[in-house]
Amino acid sequence: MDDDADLMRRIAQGDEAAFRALVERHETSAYNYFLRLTRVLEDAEDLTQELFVAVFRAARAYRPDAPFTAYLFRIASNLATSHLRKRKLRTMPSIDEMAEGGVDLPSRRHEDDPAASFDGREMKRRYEEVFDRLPHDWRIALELRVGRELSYAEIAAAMGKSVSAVESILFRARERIAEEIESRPGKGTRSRGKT
Amino acid sequence: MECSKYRRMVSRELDGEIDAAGKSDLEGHLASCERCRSFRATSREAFSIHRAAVTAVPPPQLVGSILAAVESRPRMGWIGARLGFAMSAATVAVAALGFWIGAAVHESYVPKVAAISTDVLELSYLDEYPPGSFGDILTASFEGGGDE
Repeated sequence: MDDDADLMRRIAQGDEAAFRALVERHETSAYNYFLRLTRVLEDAEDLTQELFVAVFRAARAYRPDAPFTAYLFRIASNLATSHLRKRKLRTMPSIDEMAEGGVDLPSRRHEDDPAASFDGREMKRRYEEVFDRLPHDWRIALELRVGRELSYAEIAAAMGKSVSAVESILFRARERIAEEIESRPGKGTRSRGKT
Repeated sequence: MECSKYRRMVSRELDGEIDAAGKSDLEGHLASCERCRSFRATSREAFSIHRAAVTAVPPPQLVGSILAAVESRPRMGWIGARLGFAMSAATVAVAALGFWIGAAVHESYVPKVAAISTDVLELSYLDEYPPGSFGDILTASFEGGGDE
């Protein structure tokens, strides 16, 4: 199987099959990235399309100096930031709520889902509320690290920041999340089995 | 403050960015600090929640839409880009000539000349970039190279 750099080289030469292969390889990750940040199905679709059109256009200028995922999410993060700035975040259902509430959202649930219990669902709801109120950069960094599993170095390349800045953003985001979750009423009823 | 340093270590620990010595140091602090233990517990749970969110499957037509969006844009090489720019420049020159002609006509002919000038000066189509237009070719050729 060709790696991403090989596919980009072929795309730069006009190979449409290579472009289709690249899209199919990264489409789900990109789509979920945008869906996590926007919470709107149509926006996630539109942004995913914009992302790959931009990747196609820039294929000739692509240099494999950094992992392709960093390159892809650099473009994706720019698109997401631009989009988020244009619209005020509305209160939107979480992806899980969309999947459970009748919205036609084909999805796969993880086996170790902590929301299996009532306390878990409540914690998830709180987390989603707090996450949505974080600054754009913090949400992007968290989603790239936790959702997309990029390394600090890849996130730094994707966001155009230093590694230490990324580490600092992630720490401040987690501190804010913990403060807000722990300050909410009813926290005392949550089980504290995990340490 | 010391707790801030250890909470930062908790964050790096979540991301697998802490070595054995750091982890040992962290565990030593957590053994005596309830506040930092609470922060680690909450952060771990938040991490699990985020990681365990359902993975949405993109709609099946999305790949086709992406391929169609790429195929619908004209792809011109270096010569095409320069040709498009030259023709756009020629259009602007013709428009400027038309404006000069209109300004030079006697006032009694203004209504007729104004109509001609307006038609010649109507350049908004260059802003719309309909597919295949000079504006679209120009934009498609100059965008992308060096874009991230």
